[in-house]
Amino acid sequence: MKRGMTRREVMGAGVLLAGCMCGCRTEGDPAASRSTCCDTPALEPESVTLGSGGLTIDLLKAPSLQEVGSSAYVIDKSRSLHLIVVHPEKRRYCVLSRLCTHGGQVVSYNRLRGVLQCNNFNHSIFDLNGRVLKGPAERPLVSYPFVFVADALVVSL
Amino acid sequence: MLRRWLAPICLAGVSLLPACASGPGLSARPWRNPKDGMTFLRVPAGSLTAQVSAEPNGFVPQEVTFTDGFWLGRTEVTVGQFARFVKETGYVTEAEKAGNRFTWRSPGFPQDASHPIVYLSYNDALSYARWAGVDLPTEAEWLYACRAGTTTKFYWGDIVDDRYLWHRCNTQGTGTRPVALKRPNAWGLYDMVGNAWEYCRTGDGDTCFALRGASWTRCPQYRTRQGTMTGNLLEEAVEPRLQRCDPYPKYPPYPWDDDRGFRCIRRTVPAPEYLR
Repeated sequence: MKRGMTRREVMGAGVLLAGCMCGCRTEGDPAASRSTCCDTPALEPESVTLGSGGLTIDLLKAPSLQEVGSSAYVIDKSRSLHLIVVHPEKRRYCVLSRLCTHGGQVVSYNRLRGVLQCNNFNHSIFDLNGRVLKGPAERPLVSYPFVFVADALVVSL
Repeated sequence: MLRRWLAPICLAGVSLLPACASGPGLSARPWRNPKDGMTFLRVPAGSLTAQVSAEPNGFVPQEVTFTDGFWLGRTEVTVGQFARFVKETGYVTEAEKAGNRFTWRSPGFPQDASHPIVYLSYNDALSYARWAGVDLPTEAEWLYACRAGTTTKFYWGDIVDDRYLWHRCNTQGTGTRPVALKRPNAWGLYDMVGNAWEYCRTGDGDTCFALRGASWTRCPQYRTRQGTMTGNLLEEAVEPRLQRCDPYPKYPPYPWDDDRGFRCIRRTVPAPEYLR
């Protein structure tokens, strides 16, 4: 006589199916998509003062840089500079050129790997000192020195 | 007892079904390559309308017909399969020979045997395919199989859908993912978009290639240095346009990368000469 699936068999199948679905969805959910982005935000204009010798970034006026793992860009048109400011750790910042030395396209900060990665097809990778970790770029990104003055970064250009 | 275990497996393990031992005949049944264990799925006969370069008008549409269909690897070739090839043949990849900092053994992020193989050159991919008794698809074959009869931008629709692909945002830029975790296309092929770029043959035999399908490093879109938002970069990777060899590339070709892999094809008839 034919018999249908027992409750235990049905539950077994359900557990297996549920396991598969969870395993497939963990990293693909919309929240994960938002947390890493190729699109670096612009630094708040009110936080930046451009001077003859460099620029000053008032961190208290730069919410985009407050969170550890954040980054923001600033453009100094008078010097044709595109900079990216990275906040990888508490009280640690890095200021580098934002343009890849291979094809000149922009780089963005990958917080999970702690690197800068070009957004273009060949996606050269640089460390936070600007050194090339993976080509095809051959030259490092320019890294700009700065000092902390109170709650501001004073960057020498 | 057997029935007790069989029922859950049947419900959950659809992917276990396509395992056949014989060579590919004209049936639509999957074929399992005994050399590397890859399952090949039947891609039916049909045609693809692609843009091809034509002087002086740029590109013109051309219909490419596949009269006999072919078999295409269900997934990208995996690290485990490539390791078997290396173990059997002692093959050394071009990146290894060049002393590159990263290679398939150490690509700069964690991988296990189920991930797509990366850090191969086009020649490495060809060497593997020859060993496995198969070939690399032409760009036209790849595009036709990728679209799987659909007419939308992607095989699932017109906008990026994370249920179907791994890209730079949903991997958080941390590396490849095991093959076949996302949804396949209508012909059962996994990761045709995302995870690893795939080498394809283009017009000139073994010397020219195209990369199709995008990868885990590809941004869906981003703002360029001029401040304009790029077009859909993933869409470009599956656009039905056949490339031609560029004798004067803007930048020297980069021979391997951490997101370049491949899948193989098995044909019953040779690819038309103009596609090889």
